[in-house]
Amino acid sequence: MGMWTIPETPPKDEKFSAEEIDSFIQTFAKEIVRRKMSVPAVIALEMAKPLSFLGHSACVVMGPLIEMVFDPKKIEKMTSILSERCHIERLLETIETMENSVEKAGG
Amino acid sequence: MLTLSIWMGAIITLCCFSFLFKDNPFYRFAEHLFVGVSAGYYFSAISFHQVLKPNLLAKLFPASFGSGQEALAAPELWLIVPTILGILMLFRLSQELAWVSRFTVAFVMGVTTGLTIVLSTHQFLIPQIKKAIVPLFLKGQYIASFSNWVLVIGSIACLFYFFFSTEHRGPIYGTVSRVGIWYLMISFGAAFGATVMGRISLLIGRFQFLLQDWLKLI
Amino acid sequence: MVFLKRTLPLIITFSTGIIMILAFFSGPDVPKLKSLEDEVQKWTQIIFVFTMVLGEVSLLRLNLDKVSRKVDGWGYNLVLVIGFVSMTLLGFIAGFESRIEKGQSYWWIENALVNQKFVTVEGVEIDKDGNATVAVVDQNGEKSTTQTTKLKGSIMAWFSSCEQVVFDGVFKAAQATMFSLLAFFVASASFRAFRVKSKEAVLLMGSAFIVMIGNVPVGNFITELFSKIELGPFNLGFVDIPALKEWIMTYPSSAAQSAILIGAMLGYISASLKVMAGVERSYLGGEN
Repeated sequence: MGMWTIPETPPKDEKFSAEEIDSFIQTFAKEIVRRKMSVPAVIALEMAKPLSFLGHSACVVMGPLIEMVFDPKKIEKMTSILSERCHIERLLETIETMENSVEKAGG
Repeated sequence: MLTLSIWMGAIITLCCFSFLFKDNPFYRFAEHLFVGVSAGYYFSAISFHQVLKPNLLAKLFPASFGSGQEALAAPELWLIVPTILGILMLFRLSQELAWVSRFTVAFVMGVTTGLTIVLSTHQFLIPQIKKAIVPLFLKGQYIASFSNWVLVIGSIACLFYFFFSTEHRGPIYGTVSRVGIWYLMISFGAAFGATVMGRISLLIGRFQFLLQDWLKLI
Repeated sequence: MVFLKRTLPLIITFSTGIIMILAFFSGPDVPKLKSLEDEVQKWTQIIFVFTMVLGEVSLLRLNLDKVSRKVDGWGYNLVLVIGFVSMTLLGFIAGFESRIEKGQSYWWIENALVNQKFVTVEGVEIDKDGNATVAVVDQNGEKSTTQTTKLKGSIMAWFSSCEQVVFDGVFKAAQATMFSLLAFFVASASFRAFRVKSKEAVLLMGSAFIVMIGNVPVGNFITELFSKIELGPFNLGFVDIPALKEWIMTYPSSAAQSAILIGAMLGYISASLKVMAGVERSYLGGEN
């Protein structure tokens, strides 16, 4: 429990279990691939990696406003993903894997 | 004070640049400090001093918060309504009484949806549709005609793409939506290019700060 | 209770929505209704501030919770809390105006760090727009006028300077550097994009490249270079990078942006109608 330790794996104190986050990442990636927006999504996510914590904090601060428009559960999960850079990397890898399998299947 | 500010700026800048090596405690420190300071800044300087004070407090309690002629004006008591609605929002902090904030949410949703329907049609929808309606055949102006074709085809193809209720398959629907994707890629590319240009100019600014203001080398 | 928790909010949404639409369509003959359009927008601005307060409290609670449980890296959360509390206090105090009185001396602050001078107030005048102008004289006897907001007492001036130090030293520096970092990630982002789907990536990167070089002198240089190249009967003089950039921005890019806006607005309007009619109720949260 180091004061300045950077957690190697996502911290265990999150609101959602690893499975819940995983399934949300899968759904999110699937929607991006289905809409054929993998390329801009990969670029945006890769470039936004250093800013993920800013995004997370913005989601927390603007949460009460955003929740008026979008599903609060999804917003909370998105906030959780943004809280750690490793989640973003996982999302990127999932998009890449899904896109490659679609390409191979000839879709 | 100026020297202190420059030194702080230089240390924070170097901490941020350290991310280029890898995620490290210095970057995390700078990132968390930035989030804390910006949240505090927006809370005090923007939310309170730029919005709440002139729009609510100066009108509700002019003698205490108003300046100039405003201080002599009569209090605008009807502003108690948004104040109460705002305070109701804070009930979200309690789990049992969170439902009380629904009145505020309902009011805000009513106002924004009502305005959205008319304003977005008036200010965005109609002008954008007008923009896409251009003459396709211009006598003797082949390049202009071609450009207008590009504009019209692009607008229609992208709209086809945005129709997600049906699968993007088939010779017509599939092809048109694919063309839409190409247009979207070009548009995202243009936005990406402009963003990168902006980021590079920010980067130059940071190097200028380090070399000129801090190290005084140039 | 169900009436209070569900039916009443739905009635509020429907009626305020209808009032706003009527306010938009009302002419100058119904000034009270017309004025609601602007007035209610100011109300929502005030409500948004309270909503932001709620968000800020959530951020603070989230981080304090991590500090109290001493999770891995809790020191960073502590840094965030310290940054938040100190900037809030500084910004809050520094934002207030000093009470200006004739004959008293104040710091005249143009920029809290580089441009401050000590002046004495000679008189205050209020113009016909209600704005106060202050006549001041500095220590060299030079007379000038300024606004009340720029004059601060010694303690307030000190707080202003401290706020400016944190603003310039942390906020501005970190914001500019963190966003400039993205310039370094262009290469890895492009590499990953090409790995995912090369056709789309070529289109995206191609247009990005043209927009970038079209914006800088290199674009003109390449255009000039092309005009000098002769490939047998062909001359590449027709390749004009800045013009090509303009064309991309005005036609294909603009077409896609129009479509994005049209699609988004249609979606927004249909969602708004659903909310007003009470079909979409997720914004009310919970089951009850």
